[in-house]
Amino acid sequence: MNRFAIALPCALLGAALALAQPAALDLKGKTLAATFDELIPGMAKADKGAQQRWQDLCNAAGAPGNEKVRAEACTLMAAKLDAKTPAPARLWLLTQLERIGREESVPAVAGVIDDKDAVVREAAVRALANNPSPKATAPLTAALKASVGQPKIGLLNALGHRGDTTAVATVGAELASTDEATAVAAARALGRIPGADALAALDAAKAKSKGAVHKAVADGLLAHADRVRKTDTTAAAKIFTGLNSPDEAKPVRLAAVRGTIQTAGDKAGELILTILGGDDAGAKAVAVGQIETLTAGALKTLAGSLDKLTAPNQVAVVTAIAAKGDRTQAGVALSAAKSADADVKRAGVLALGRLGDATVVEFLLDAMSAKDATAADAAESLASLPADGVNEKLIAVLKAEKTPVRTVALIGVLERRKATVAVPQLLTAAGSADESVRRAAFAGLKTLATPVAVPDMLAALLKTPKGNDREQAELAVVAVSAQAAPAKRAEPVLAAISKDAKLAPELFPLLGRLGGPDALKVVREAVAATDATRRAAAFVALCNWPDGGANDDLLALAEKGAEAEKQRAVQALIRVNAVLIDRTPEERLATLETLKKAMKLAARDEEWRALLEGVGFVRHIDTLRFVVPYLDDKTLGQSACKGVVELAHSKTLREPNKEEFGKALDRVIALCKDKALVERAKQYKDGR
Amino acid sequence: MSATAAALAAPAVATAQKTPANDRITMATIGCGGQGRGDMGGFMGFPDVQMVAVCDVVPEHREQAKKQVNDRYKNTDCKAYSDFRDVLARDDIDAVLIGTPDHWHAIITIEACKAGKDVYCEKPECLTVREGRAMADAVARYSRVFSGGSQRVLGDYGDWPRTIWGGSLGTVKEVYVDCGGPSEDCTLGEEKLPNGMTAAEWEMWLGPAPKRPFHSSLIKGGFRPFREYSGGGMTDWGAHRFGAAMFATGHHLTGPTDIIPPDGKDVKHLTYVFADGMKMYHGGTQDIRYVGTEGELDRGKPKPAKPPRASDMPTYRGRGGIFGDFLHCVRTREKPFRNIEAALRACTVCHLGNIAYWLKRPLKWDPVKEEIVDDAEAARWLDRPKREPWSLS
Repeated sequence: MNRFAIALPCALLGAALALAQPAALDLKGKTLAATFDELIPGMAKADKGAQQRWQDLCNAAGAPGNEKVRAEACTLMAAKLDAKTPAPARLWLLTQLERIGREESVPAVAGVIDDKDAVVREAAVRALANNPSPKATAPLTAALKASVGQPKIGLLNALGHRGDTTAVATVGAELASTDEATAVAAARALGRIPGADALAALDAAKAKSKGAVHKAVADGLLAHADRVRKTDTTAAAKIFTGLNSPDEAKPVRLAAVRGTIQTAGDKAGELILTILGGDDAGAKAVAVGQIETLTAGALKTLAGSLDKLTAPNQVAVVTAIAAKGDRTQAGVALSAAKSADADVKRAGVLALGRLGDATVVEFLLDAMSAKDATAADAAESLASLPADGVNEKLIAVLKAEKTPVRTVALIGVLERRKATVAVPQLLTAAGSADESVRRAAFAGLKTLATPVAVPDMLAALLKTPKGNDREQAELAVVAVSAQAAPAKRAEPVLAAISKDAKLAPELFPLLGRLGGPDALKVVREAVAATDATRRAAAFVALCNWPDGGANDDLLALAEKGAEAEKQRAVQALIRVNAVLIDRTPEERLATLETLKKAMKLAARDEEWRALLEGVGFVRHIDTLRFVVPYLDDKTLGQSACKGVVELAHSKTLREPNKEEFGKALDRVIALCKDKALVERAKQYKDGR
Repeated sequence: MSATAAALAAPAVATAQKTPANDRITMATIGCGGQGRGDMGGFMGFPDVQMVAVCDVVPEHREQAKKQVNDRYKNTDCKAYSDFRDVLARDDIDAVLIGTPDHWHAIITIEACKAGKDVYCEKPECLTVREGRAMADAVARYSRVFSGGSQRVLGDYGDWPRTIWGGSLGTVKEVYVDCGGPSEDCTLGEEKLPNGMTAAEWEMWLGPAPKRPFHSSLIKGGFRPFREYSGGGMTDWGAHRFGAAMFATGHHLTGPTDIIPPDGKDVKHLTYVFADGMKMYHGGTQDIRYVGTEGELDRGKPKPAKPPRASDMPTYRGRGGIFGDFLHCVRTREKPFRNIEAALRACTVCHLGNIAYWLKRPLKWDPVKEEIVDDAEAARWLDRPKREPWSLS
């Protein structure tokens, strides 16, 4: 059982207790006042330790149940806000008061909202803005009259932040300010203060205001309308209607259109139809965006008149209805999908993918088979069709399907649907006489099957012709088998061979791809056998081995095997060893030794080059020492450069061997013809 | 052409390979540091996007971005600005990409909505919980398309949500999420303004955050550890990973009811408890780890078999990942995958975690009313007054 399963109920109990009992402040045996006196000098010097200590105490004092301590802390801070206290401390104390100050700190904070130090003044205004005491409003409104410019805007913002209705008259008076920025700030503040008075002040300013002030007034009215809408749609609708005027800025007018639709209830459908019939592209876009909010009645009206709309509007409405995800509207999607207009048809077909159910499977299958632009969309919709019974219906169709093209398409849809229930039918299809069907089936099985299906996949695989077809089938089996533990992957194949030894030559190449110690044992026996066919298949198995498990066998074949086998064995050794995989230092050394032997046994430039390029993935300093001598080789030098750079890619290897790598990289920089590789070498040389 | 017009003038299902110039979505990038320029490059890879302006208060960023745009289009048409309001005042811009530091996200988003622009905003989308709701209100009020910039929710974990939504883990009981810790107060010293950057530009960089002297670290992406500008690692990778965990478990449109900080005793990790009993921990993994009644999902561990696709699992619209999703929705007016509601819920979890860390006490949260319950002082951390002249409306 996870430890948190036990710990959490205890913690929750602890948390509940913590909420019920005030958290004690860690004062280390001193009084709060003494602690404060001790910390103030540090705060005055902006000492982080002192600041943090006092902040922690303030945070703890603000916990539920600590009211007395909180008030004491704030009173202490309030007493130190005057100009005698250095600015860093005043600012720090104001920050704390912004978070925990209440009524007790209002007079002292109010005393500095006209401070000569602009930073202190501004911090004091914010502290009052965030103070929940109703008494914090009066100092701000009082200061408003005497202030000008940015400080005045700060006060208006603070009053807007507080949302205190008692400030409406004072703030409202600033709407008439000749300073535009001040009037804008007043309008914004009134937009944030709830209630009829603020709304009335904005409404009164609507006709008189111009430019930026008017925009702010309108925005404030919209904010009020959105608040009012929750309890009084008629009142909200009145505000929205008033703003839905050509005289308003486009964003305001469109916001009003949105509000009008949202407050129209069942009549919103008609409203949207009217808007879509007009020529205001912005309003149309808003209307379409509101389809997701429509009532059932409004949606019915809209859907009922769909065919009266222009094709682009039909597309927009059908797409929006689909986005709403209301599956009762599947009929709308189906009607659109039958439209003569290509765009409407496509929108309908795609909408069916979101709204349809099993009953539209056949329609979509027909659409998928049609030779027009909707075929791909129909496949997309079938792949995403969200409903019970769709997979079963598709499988039933697949069972009865005779045409390879449609069968392949159906398999593709089932694969994209992750329809694991289709595995039995895919196994049947994997044994089809038609190559395209077989390939599609194995591709589907690769995605959907689990190792349980491997025995049946083997039966189908044995029916596939050798060559690319068989290879794809083998890769599908390997992919499915990879879901099992490495040692168990070959079990079904070994079981099949054990049951019928004649299958061995057929299944050995696959067995090699799966690997594992049990498989190796069987393959080794076969390599030693006299039966040429069996032996040849076992050789292929070794060449297919997925890891270094068959290295010794391959080395032996590369050395003593038939001429034709030697080259393939070397290639197999390079393929599985000269690659980037996680290895322990010991494994890296062993791999390097194998590759050194392969280098000696190889007989062609191609293999030498491949080996030198890939050996760079075997991250060991001995690998560098192996590669460096080849740098000057006329034929292999460029490949050795790649090997060195790849080794240098590992900072873990490079850093402790900096000098040796430095020299090797210098030679690469001098010799290499590949500019990108030289750049990498320079980068590693610089320690990057 | 404006995107709203394009939405209805062209079939919504059509994805143009070669989009005529007047059908393109015109965009501007506001905040052109590394992330902003990276996102901008991503958007400019779409043939139906025309980037027309860039804006940054840091001259070096601004000029690099302008060059990037002009190089992309092989012309000199891109305009560069240092004040985002000048960008928003342009009628020819359909959408803005916001790549500024976090403390600017809300204000620019809200002002962009008021100016009728659609918004793609980098994560974490908001600096406080209340900012997130104010952004959502503006997006709804002005019918704007908004996508948050967490490409990792689906990009990094595309298979995992499908596995969980499809039921392979049974009911998820626990999720472990790795990301950095909370931010703290900025204590950086003072440096000289770099050549070419004016005091006014530094003032604009600070914007709604408290006044402080210039420090180069802040304009070079080093703002994240500081509470004035960011929620730290909790909101940086947290916006991705808590968002991913909440989405995968179907909690992406709600929030926890309890947030319990570690106490050094029984509670090892910050713990979120959801109404249905699921617990989400900060820590206990190097990525995300899901523990269900029928299995586990963890990076580097064997995965349960992929189930059939869950029909109701939201995903990107259109093609081209999260950028393509946004552009598709700009045309169709659908809600993007990382819409504002999903974004603010993910950020809210990060912020609540920060508040619990900062105050060192458990919190109770009402995810419907979006209120901290029975802790008035903790509730004050949900919002912050802005420095003049900036405000959240």
